[in-house]
Amino acid sequence: MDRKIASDANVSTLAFSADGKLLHGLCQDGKLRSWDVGAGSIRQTIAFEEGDTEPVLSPAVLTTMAKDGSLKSWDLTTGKVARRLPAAGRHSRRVFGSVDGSVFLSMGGSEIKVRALDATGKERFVVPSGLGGVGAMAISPDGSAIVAATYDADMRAWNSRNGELLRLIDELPVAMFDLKFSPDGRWLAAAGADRIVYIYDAKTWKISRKFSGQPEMISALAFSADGSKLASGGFSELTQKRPVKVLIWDVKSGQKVRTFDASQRVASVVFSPDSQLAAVSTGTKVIDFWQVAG
Amino acid sequence: MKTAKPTRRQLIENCICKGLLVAGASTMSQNELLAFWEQGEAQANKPTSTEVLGPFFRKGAPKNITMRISGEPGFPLRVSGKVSNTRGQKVQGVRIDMWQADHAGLYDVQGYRYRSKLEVESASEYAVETILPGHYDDRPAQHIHYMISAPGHKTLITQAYFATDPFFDGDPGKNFRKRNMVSSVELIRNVNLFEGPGQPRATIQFDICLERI
Repeated sequence: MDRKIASDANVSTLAFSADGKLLHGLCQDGKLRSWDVGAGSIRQTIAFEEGDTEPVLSPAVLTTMAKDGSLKSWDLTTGKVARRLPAAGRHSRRVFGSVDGSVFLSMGGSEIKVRALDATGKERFVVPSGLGGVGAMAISPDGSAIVAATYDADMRAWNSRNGELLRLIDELPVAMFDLKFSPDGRWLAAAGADRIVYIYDAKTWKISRKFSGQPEMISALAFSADGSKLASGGFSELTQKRPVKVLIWDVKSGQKVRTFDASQRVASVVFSPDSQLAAVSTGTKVIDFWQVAG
Repeated sequence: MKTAKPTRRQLIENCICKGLLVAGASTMSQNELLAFWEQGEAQANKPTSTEVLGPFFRKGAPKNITMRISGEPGFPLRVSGKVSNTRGQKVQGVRIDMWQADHAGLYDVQGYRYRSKLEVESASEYAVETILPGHYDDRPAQHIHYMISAPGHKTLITQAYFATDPFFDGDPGKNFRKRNMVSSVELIRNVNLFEGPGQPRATIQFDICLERI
């Protein structure tokens, strides 16, 4: 390992700040910690409010859900709640991100629905999704499409403005555990239980390429900022606690270019904005850094 | 764009409101008629409890009544049951996806070992030959996953558990909620052991009751 940061609490989702100087980590003790990447020291800690659940960290946005179902968006610079959607999330199970002030959520236990709220908290649409829980969700970089993968091995892409179903993708054999769009929005990477990375053309929603070689299931994906590389992080079929691999792929050729070790199921993998560094969290108190360039 | 289907209750209410459903020559009011219908539903059989689908479902399993693989370790198990609906009726066109871990607690995520998709005949009974599933750390009670679909019925996602499982410490009624493992004690089935002329084997009966749409 090139370097690591020790945290006071177990870390799940990671995100770099836009300038790459800070690494934000969503911690399982109900706090967001931000580390100085150069020095490895803590720069800021944001403690959620009492009763907040469902924290979601997408690159620049942190959202939590209060006990009454209202949603809070936090300003990562000031550490304060910047916006509240009153009682907007009631009956919702999971928040999966926001774009231009709109928020997308999933609801339901076995029969999943996806719900979109506008910036005032007004419902824009509710659409039926698959069965058995949501494995992963993603929003396209231009905000025009949202995609959800459910545990019944189906995926659906919708128009994010009106909920129109763009494509039901039912050709995959297994559930997908992570979905990530390439930074230019051209590709959607999907991976999960069968150890294969599927690269979809995000215009036609057809499979363009498949990357095989991960030795276990895949729990986390990330494109580098320049779109040239893709990282996939493993998840052992036998137990989350088994050591796994993080693979770095060349997106064009589909070749494996680097392989790193992770101590257990990869919770999150992210590239620095200059695409030189990958940071990996595994739900433990250690964040690993790897040089991926060269 | 797909829209959610109305529930049976909504349909009945709608029909009553529109005068499409009337109680013969009786003088029942709309409310009395709805109450009568609800009473009938309340007396119906209880649908099988649901469980989580989990991350290991795989589409396209073979129609295989023998999941057990010759020469592989594992205690032989026969799972059988009847499929009906909450009205006690036999259900036509039932498809049952079953999947489980092997004796070592490992799911086949790239193929179809210990996976089957059954087509249940009009007798509404099913049976498979398999092995007792192994234990694994993340969900340490032995279980078999089910996803059951049939026209006109709600897709049921559930799991069968085993009363003999050491996880329940000999008392499933008391311990089924340990580690939030089992949603309902009814899903834990008694295991019958047979010692025949061949090797010993176990059986469980797992009947399924589907909810009508």
